[in-house]
Amino acid sequence: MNKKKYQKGFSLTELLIVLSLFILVMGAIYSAYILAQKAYRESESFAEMNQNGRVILERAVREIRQARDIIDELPDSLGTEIPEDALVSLEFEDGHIQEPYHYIKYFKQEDKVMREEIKYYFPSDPDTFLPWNASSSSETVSSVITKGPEAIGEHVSELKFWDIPDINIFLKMEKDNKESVLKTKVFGRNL
Amino acid sequence: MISFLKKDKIKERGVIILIAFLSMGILSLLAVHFISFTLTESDMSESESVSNKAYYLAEAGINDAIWKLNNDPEFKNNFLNGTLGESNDILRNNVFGNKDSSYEISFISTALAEAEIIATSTHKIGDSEAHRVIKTYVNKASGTASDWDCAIFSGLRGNEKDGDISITGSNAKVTVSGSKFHANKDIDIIGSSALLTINNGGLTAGGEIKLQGSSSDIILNDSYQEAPTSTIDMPILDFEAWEERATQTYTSKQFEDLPSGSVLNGIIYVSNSVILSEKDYYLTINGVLIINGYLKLSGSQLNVTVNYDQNYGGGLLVNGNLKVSGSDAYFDVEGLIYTSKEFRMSGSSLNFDCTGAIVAGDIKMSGSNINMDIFFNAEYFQTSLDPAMNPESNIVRINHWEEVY
Repeated sequence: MNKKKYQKGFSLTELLIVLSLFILVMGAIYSAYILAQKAYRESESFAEMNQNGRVILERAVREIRQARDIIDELPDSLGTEIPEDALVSLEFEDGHIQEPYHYIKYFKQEDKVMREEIKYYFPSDPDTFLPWNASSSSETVSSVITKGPEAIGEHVSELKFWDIPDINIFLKMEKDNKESVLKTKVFGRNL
Repeated sequence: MISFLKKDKIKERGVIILIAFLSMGILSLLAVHFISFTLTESDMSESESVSNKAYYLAEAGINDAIWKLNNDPEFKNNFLNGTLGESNDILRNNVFGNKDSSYEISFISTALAEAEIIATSTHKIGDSEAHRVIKTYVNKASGTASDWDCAIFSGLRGNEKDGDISITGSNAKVTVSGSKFHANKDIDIIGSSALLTINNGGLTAGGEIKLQGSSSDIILNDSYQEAPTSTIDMPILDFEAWEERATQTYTSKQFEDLPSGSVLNGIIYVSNSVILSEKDYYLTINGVLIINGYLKLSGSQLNVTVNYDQNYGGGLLVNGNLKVSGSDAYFDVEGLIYTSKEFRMSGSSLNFDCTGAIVAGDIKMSGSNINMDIFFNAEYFQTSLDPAMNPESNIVRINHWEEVY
């Protein structure tokens, strides 16, 4: 009677109980994992969207800060609102390089912000860079894109510029049904 | 009773520990994933923040340098004499009490009272460093006005971008009577059908005089042409002294809101930059209009008249850029047109009648159908340029700002 009973394996009942418990626990973990994955993807997508916005603003701000002249007529701000006639693109004279009359343009194409460099010239003398509004009685000024257009950021649904000399830039970002708004002001040091 | 529940009798080797390990393994993987994601994001935002700090540190360096040029006798003299060099370099550590922040400033004199300043900032983050470099060209008017003899003058010399007079538009007709048309650097006539006429004066440049535009010409009547010739220091204008003498002071907004037909008398001082973009607009100043900032005129049919006043003198004085980009504008100025930076005419059908003189850092005429008649008249501009009224140009101006990358 005192003989000890050693268990050498699991019975079917034990296995069933363990398996069902395991499935239950795994199910709970899996749904937690799926939820976490979803949250991770969303935050990653949001971070990517914001990073794109940051890159666009960083580059545009740096170049506008150095601009020698803004070609477009920027509308005045109306209090804190964005004016209805705010510009969707901005062209200005590059102040970073030594020679005058090199122009840069920022604009939106599909969901990307594009940047291009433009040169104005008379066809009879294509090597001389001219102001955008140079005129001649014998020929009209031509323009050519010397670099770009290149995308500098994506996931953009709106791009607006207004006010001068403190130029406002407004960016609305959109990705996977999530939206983010970025705004900044830049003071043109050479305007 | 099921036998395995009898704890005291059974050596149990259960599986719950396995499940726990598995679950913890998966959860740890997730946690590692999140932590690495968060760390990457945090690194990105740290780098963004450090890059901004480094930029503002470099900007602080530029401000420090300008303060030195304005206030430190050694720097001031070296700046005015064009002898700034390596011995003037400044290194500041522990900026704003932050041991990770430092900047270095170097000065290079490019001409008398003109210099290039380069500020390099360093902000440490752990073992790495963020750097930003800002380069500026600064100048200070240092000439004398007592025997001023230029009808049109473009005066900055230190910066490759300034000190020129360039006509790139078409049909520009510029007539200068009674004195010199002078640029400290080059005079370029590239536009077509441009006609530059000098009557009883001179056409002089510190650099070259280029006439390239088709059907363009230079006519000298009882006048001489000389290039290269010696440069001339830009005359001093003390904007702070003008502010003290102002009879009326406006903010930008107040000035921009003035209705068409306004007539202002005396010394009119506007405290900041002005943009006038009007149609069919008339403004008359009987005296001197001073804009402490830039002045940008656009729109169409803009008419600005400045009449000389015996008590106050006459002039349009701009402490910054003066840009005219509208169409059909008419300016009639008795006195001095002074712009400390660039005078840019890019509109069409712009008419300037100036009885006095024009002094600017750089002059660019890129518009079409620009008509400019300058009659040198010392009486009209001398009150505005009088050294007694402009004891010193205590402002070192940044005429170009550039970030190095």
